[in-house]
Amino acid sequence: MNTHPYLRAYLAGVFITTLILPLLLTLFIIVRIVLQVPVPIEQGLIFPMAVVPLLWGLWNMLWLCSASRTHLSLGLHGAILPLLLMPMGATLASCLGVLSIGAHGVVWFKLCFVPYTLIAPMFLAALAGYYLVWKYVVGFLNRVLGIA
Amino acid sequence: MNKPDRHRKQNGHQDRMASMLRQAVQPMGNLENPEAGPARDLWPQVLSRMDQNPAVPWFDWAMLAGLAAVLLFFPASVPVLLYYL
Repeated sequence: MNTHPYLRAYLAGVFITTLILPLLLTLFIIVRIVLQVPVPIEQGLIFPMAVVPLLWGLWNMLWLCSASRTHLSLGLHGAILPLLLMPMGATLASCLGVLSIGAHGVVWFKLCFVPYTLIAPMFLAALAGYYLVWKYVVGFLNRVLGIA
Repeated sequence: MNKPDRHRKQNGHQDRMASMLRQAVQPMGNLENPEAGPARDLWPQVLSRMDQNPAVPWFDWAMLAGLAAVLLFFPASVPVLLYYL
């Protein structure tokens, strides 16, 4: 199976985010339509539904392209992705009114208050989560698809 | 050239080609009886390969514990982290 390795890398990259999408949509339907909670989720959905899967696929293609030169492990390569995603996501959320910046912290979806002191642990948690998911899940998929 | 001579010449070419091929290509196991299978049992090797599960390093467990602690003690981080997945 030596044909189209970049296509297989893209598919392996988007796999996990594509699995999470139905969960997010279910959550959206429950919160907005069933419970009728007035939070602006739909504006923010474009980022996890379109941008994140695309970037995961492209990021795995980039790893396939660069691993022979950089010798960077897949986990570390995946852990770099939040450094790119988080500013992008925060900027987009701020522009769409999903994120508002206050004096003591930020408010997500007009509902979740996150103090500034919590942003650093959350960022580290995101790095750890990305490292583990890329190392074990995307690594497994890459092996299954014959590109690692 | 008559017909038997031409036939003999063709056979000579074929024999020469066959001997050249035998010299160039290495023998591949038991070609006389290909259904006999490999010379030794390969199943123990397969089992040992399956048993070679690399142990999960301690820092991976530590990161998982840290991530779980953040999600548990700061539930407000759950939707934010979901936003980035």
